Amino acid sequence: MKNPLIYITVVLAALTGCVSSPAIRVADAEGVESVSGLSMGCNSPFELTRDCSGFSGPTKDISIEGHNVKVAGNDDQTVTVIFGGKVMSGVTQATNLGYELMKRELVKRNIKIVKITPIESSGLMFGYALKTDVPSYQIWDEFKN
Amino acid sequence: MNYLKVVLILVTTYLSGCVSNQSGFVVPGESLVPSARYYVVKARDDERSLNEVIVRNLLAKGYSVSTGLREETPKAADYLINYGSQWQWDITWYLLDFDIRIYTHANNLFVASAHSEQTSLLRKPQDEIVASVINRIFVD
Repeated sequence: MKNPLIYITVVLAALTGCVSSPAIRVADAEGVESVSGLSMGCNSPFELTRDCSGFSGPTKDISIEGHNVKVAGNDDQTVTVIFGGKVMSGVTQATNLGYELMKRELVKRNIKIVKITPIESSGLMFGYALKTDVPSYQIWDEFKN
Repeated sequence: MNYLKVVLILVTTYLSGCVSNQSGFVVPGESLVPSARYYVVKARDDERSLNEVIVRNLLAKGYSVSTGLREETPKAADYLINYGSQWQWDITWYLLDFDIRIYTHANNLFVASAHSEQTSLLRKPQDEIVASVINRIFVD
């Protein structure tokens, strides 16, 4: 053992390093490949042309049943990207609750979600991208803050 | 004076690690009644049988509840309970994030959810976390 300090450092790093299992997802997104929330932009991968900022992501503030989320949409309004909330305070749960409430609203209107893509990074669920069978993004105007 | 500032910063930093965040949400107009039949769907990635802990807690509150795989869902169930857990390694494993979500069985409509999030310094045991999350939306 040439330098015990190196071994001790490695062991301590292994013991104290925070390794996390994946973020909690809604049941609809189980087993679905996610995209990174840090690397996505307005253009890629969802071609968001409505209410999207290259800096902060979705910009339209909406409130469903009193729960606030931000959304952005694509040109033909079949894709809605929802971001849950502030990174420092329960973003995963805010995102998951936001998705469930949006889905509930879509189901009420007989609109089907045909694809869901989780958006996550660093063990946090930042958002979901929902693709619907018909244009649906305009619905969220009714819920604007 | 400088010494006092340093102590205050250290205490604040230490205490900020002892944080637990919990909440519950029931969709307005919906309610979770004890007379309904609940079914806890075992999560595919749950290696610690948290579904059994949920069932124990609900039975203790007088709710009619059973658990098993999604494919085994009884036709008579009124509500399905899904749950999720995120574990973190920090010298030992602890339950970082836990939630339950409740849906109607008939049309898979979201009804309620509750969650708990805790930091490494707090690290309450999993049974305690599950019980406190259930208490957020199920009343005795």
